[in-house]
Formats: sequence, structure tokens, C-alpha cells
Amino acid sequence: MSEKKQSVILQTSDDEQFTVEKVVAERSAMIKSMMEDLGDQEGQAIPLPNVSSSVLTKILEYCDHHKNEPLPAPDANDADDSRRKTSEIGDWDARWIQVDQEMLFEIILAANYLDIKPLLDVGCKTVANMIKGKTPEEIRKLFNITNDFTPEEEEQIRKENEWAEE
Amino acid sequence: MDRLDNFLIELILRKLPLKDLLSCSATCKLINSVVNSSSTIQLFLYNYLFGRCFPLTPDRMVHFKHGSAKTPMDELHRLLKSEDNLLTFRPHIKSYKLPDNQVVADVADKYIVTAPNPGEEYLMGSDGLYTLLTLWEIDGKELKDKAVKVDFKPQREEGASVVDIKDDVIICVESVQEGHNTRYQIRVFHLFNEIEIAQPRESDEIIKNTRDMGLNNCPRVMIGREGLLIVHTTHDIKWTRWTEGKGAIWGHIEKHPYLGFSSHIGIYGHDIVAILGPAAPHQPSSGTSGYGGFPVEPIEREYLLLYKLDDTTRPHTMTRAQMVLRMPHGRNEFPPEGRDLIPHGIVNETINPGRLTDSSNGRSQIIEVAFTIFDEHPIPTHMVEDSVPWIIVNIPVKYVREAVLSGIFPSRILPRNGLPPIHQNRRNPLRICRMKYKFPDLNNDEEYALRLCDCCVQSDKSEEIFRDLKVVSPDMWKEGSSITYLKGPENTHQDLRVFGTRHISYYRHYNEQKNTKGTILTELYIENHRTETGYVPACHRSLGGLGGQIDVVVDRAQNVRSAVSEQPYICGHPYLHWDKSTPFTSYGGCFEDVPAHGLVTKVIFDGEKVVFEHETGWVTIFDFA
Repeated sequence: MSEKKQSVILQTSDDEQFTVEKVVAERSAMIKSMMEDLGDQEGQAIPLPNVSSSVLTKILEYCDHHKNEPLPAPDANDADDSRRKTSEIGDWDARWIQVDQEMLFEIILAANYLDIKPLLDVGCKTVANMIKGKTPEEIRKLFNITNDFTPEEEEQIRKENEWAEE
Repeated sequence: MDRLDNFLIELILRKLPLKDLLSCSATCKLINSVVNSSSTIQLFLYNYLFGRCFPLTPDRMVHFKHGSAKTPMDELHRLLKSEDNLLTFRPHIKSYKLPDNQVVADVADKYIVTAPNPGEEYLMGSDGLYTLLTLWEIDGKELKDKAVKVDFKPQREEGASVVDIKDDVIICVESVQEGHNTRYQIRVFHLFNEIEIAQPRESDEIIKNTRDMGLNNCPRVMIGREGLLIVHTTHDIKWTRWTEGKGAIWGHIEKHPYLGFSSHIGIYGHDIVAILGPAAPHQPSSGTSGYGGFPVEPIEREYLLLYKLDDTTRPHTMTRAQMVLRMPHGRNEFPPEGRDLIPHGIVNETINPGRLTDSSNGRSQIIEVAFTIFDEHPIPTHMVEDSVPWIIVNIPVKYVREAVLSGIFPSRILPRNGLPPIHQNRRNPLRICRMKYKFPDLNNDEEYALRLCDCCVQSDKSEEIFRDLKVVSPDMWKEGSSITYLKGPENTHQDLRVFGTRHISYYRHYNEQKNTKGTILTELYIENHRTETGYVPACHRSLGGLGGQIDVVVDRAQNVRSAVSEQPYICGHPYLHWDKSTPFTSYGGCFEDVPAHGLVTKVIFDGEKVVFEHETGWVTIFDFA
């Protein structure tokens, strides 16, 4: 093993190449398994056709910050969903994810594609926090959602959901 | 948001609390369909709503395969319908004849569970005693024998509950003799399982008891949500999650002297356990006094001990009571409105040990303690009406949970100003007496009603301590709760069945003309509680937030008449309230031509069905679902 930090080349959808430390890139379970598949082929770029360079820059910032943390166990899935504990987003993460909505969704999509579970979690929590306490109308406005319910359907849903209004 | 696929939308939705989740489902069809199609979200909704006792895993979906609802949303609609129908009183009224020697054990969903007659529970089979529980499907016109038989070998034990049924799960205790030991085996059955005979799920923990020590009492079992199983033996209260199967780890709940086998244990949700019973505030000493090791004569007080179970502490730490509420004793601890119902003479029987009732109607959870007082009222004119009142104390579970979690008593159940004055008992400052009341001035009714006896100490000065915990006296907790007085049964045609947040009581009017036709006029009252704070009866929506506004009807007699013509009547009883803002309403209706099948022996109200069991073996079902 050489003293030089091992690195890997990532190629984004807009054909930009990023040379990244392996330990940073390994945050992505998808890249990690690709690297394992590729073996030690120096200079071989890993194509990421679903990720743009601006999003990757942002995500690498996240990966670099968290590179020394232990990787989540592969099967540590959302088993604790039942409790629905809204565990806090870390301070750094919260500052880091202060981006516009477009970028936020890009990050979530990329996190899903690259299989970075903690990042996906942070992204989803951020969106969830944006939703919290809002009325359906406010949520539509927030995310530019078109109301495709008929008035009757809407009334029906409103009625169904009434019990939650304690 | 439109760029995200359903999976990612679901991930986000799963991070939301209930209210926001529902707001999202109301925004557009796409999100709505994600909410409705995700089994994880649906199970979350379902558990939130109805608190089924199975935990949140997809394989627990059996209920939807075999119950009347196919999805949690279905179940919600079914409940909405039943609540609407309760409000407008449009039940299906059906009578069925049960097979000989069968009595109703419980009602779950659209099923009635029957057990053999008391005294004939145990049949001799080839391999010993056994009993059968039978599941009957209420299906429109007929009572179909679904013949899901739960076959288990019970312990012959007087008065001990060996079976607990909750929603769609049955827990039984079976005893197996092994030499000098009796092995108790707990078996869990699922009511809606696909096979005819419900099989035990991963069971069981073995409890050994040596017979020669005379301790061969059959353990009592109780189940709560999320697989919570509590086993109460003579020396131990243990708990676990039955879903863990054979590998289940058992935790222990601290038992107290005087909180014996006769005390009541209630499970609220998946983690709150309440034990009600008489308790003594001091530790018994090792030496023998005249009072079984207690330094002073144990004072008989009804304590409600509240425990919050924590899964992480299970194998090692003994769960101790985190909160001790004392039940009201002297007249002064009851609200003035109902004080004239409390016997004010020398009470022979005093307050019957209270009973704890399970709570949830899906929306609100209430710990309910029901007392009766057996005594003759000192005022002759009050005798018939008021001699046997039920006193029902409702303590919202959410306050308990809040208080336990925060480690403090939440401010909202701290007393406000203007509490009724309670006199200091100078003669015996430690004793909170409920046995020795002073006789009131019987010549003045009004004075009688307001008079305070001077035998009760002012409880906030008495500093009761129970096992290092300050005992919370009624004037501390009653603010967040409500106390209701209900008249007791006047005769055998009347009974009272308490079900959590709703009570039901009924009157059967025997009418000669009707009787010849074999029918009867039945009047039902349903009383409903809500737990929200800031609740004002005049502008609330009934039944947990559903239905229209309830008008307070003053002229009850008139409305009884209109109720006869199939119109429900609804009345608020402000005089029954502890506090005018108590979330309590009462309403009722009359039903003509209900088949009369003789005396009613049991009434079961599961929140949507009223089941009358007659001594002739018939059941009459008022099905509001």
C-alpha cells in the first residue's frame, strides 16, 4: 500500500471528472461496490450518468466531512420506523443542506442513486421538516403541487382526516 | 417534488408525524396514492389509530385478510361509520341463540367469542381437561359459526383469569403437571388465522411453582399493544413481548405488600402499566408487629401505581412505580357536585376496590377507575336513586406519559386556585379517613350537600410518601381528569358496562302490551369522554371529533318521547362534571320492539356494538358498525 492516498475518478453526467479520495467516495455504497468490481484499474473513471457536477460537488463536500465516521451496516435499514422518532439533523448537516429546493431534491435523488443512506435520511428529514405544521394548501404552494382532486374527493379526504385534528 | 419517485416520496412521508402525513395525503392524487399503498405507512396509521396489539410488521396484516376490513383505511371507514351510527343511533338489532352452555367471553371486530358456561368450562378429553373458545362471525342476518376454536388446557383456578383477549389475539395459560411442579405454559392464538384451529404463535415462558409451598396459583396473563405480555403470579409480576417468541426476555415489575393478587392491573398502550389496590405507605419491618410487620396499622388507601416500561432495562432492572396517585377517599376529595352521592354515615362496606378499565377508542386513552360505594344513604329520600353510585375517575394516559417522561408533574395537572377547602384533621393528621364520617345536619339539605367533613386532612400538607415517591393526592391530579357519578343498577333489568372512553347504560321498559309480543323497549345511553384540553362541551364535536354538534338538551322528558320515534336524543349533563369543561357528554335513544329474551346477564360494549346476553342463552346485538 503506497503512502499516497488512494483515489478514484468519478465522471458526472455533464462529463466532468472528479478525482476523489477513496475513503470519501466509499461513503457511497454504490461507488464502493463499483470500485470493488473494477479492482485496481488505475485511471478508470466511474461513470455517474444520473448526477450532475454541481450536485456531485455538493455531495462530495458531505462525504468529505463524514469520511471518518463508520459506515452504516448494510442491513441497518429503517427498522425503527415504527417509533417515528424525528431524530435531529446534525448541526453541520443542517447548515450544509441549506440549499434551494431544486438542489435539495437533486441531492435526495443522487443520494438514493449513489446509495448514501445517512445522506438520504438527512434529505428526507429536511423535506419532512419543511412540511411539518403546514396545511395541504401550504404544502401545495411550497412544492408547486397541482391539486388534482375534485371538490368532492377533497371533501371526502378532509372528512377522513378530521379525526387527527386533536 | 414531481421529480421524486414513489419510493422517495414514501421515505419522506415516513418521517412525518401523523397530522402532517395526512395533510400531505390531501395535497394531490400521487401523494395520496403513496400514502394509501405503502404498507408501512398504513400499518403506522393503523397502529396509531386503533392500537392493535400486534407490532408493526407486515406479517401482522393477517387481520386485514380475515377481519371485516381489508386495509387500515377500510378499518378507519368502518369505525367512522359506527361512530356516525352511534351518534344517530341507527344500529342493526339482531338476536341470536347461542348454543347451549356457551356464554359470551368477548367481542372483537365483527366477531363474538364464546366460552363454555362458568362451572362447565372444563371438559374432560382424552388427555385431560380442556376448554374451547368459539369465534362467531356476525354477518348481517346470521350469526355464522366461524368455528375457529381455540383449544387449550386451562388451569382449574377459581376467579383467576387464565385468558386474555385483545382485539385479534388470545392469550391462554395452560398448566402441565411435572412431578411436584406445575408448569404453566402461555400460548398465543391469533383469532383470524387461516387455519381453523388457531395455533399458538411462538409461545412461551415457563413458570414454575412448587405445589408443596401452596403457591400453585395460576398466573394471570394480560396483553397490551406491541406484543406486551404481563404475567402476574403470587410472588412476581413479569413482562415481556410475546412477539419475541421463545427468546423473549422477561422484565420485572416491583410488587408491593398490600398490592396483592387481588389488585387490579391495567395495561395502557404498549408501555404504561397501572396497578390499583390498597397500599400501605411504609415498608414493613422485619420484626413482627400486630400489623404484619408494618410499624403502624396499614391504612387502607387506594393507590394507583403507574409504571412506564422500558424495553432496554428489561432483563436487569426492576421497573418501579414512577408515579403514585391516590384515589379520592373522603367526601372532600370528590367534587362538590357529586358529594351528596357519597355516603356520609358510617360506611360498612366502604368503597369497593376500584376496577381499572382499558381505555382506547382509538383517539383517546384514559385510565379509568370505577368505584362503587355500598351503603345506605342517610337521607331516606335519596335512598333509591343514589344509594349505589358508581364513581368513575378518568385520568388521561397522555398526562401520565407526559409526567413520567418529563420526570415532573406537568403544570396543567397542577391545581389551579380556588380548590374546595379541605379541613385539617387535627385529631389524626396522618390518617386520611374514609370510614368515619361525621353525620351531617340532616335537617338542611343544602347544607348537607355542601358540608365538608372534618376528618380528612388537607392532602398537600400530609406529605404521603410511598417507596420514596411522593404520593399525588386527588387535588393534584384531578384537574386533568374527570370524575363522574353514575347511578348504580336499580334492579336486575339494568346494568352498567364501562368501556374505556365510553360508558353505556341501558333501561329496559317492560310494557304489558309489548311483552305479549315478546318485545321490549330498550333505552340506551352512551356517555363519552374526550381527553383534549381546553375542551368546551357546547361547541365540541362528539365521539372523538366526528359527527355534528351536540346540542345540550334541557328538557329530557320531551326528548325521550321523540326518541321513541326512532329519533335519538342527546343531552349534556353539566351537573355530572367535576369541571364545566370536562369532556363529557351523554346521549341516548330508545329502540322499540327489541326482542325480549328474559333477563340480561351480561352487557358488552366494544365501542361499536352493544351485546346483551340473556339468561336464556340468547344474545341481542345492537350493531352500530
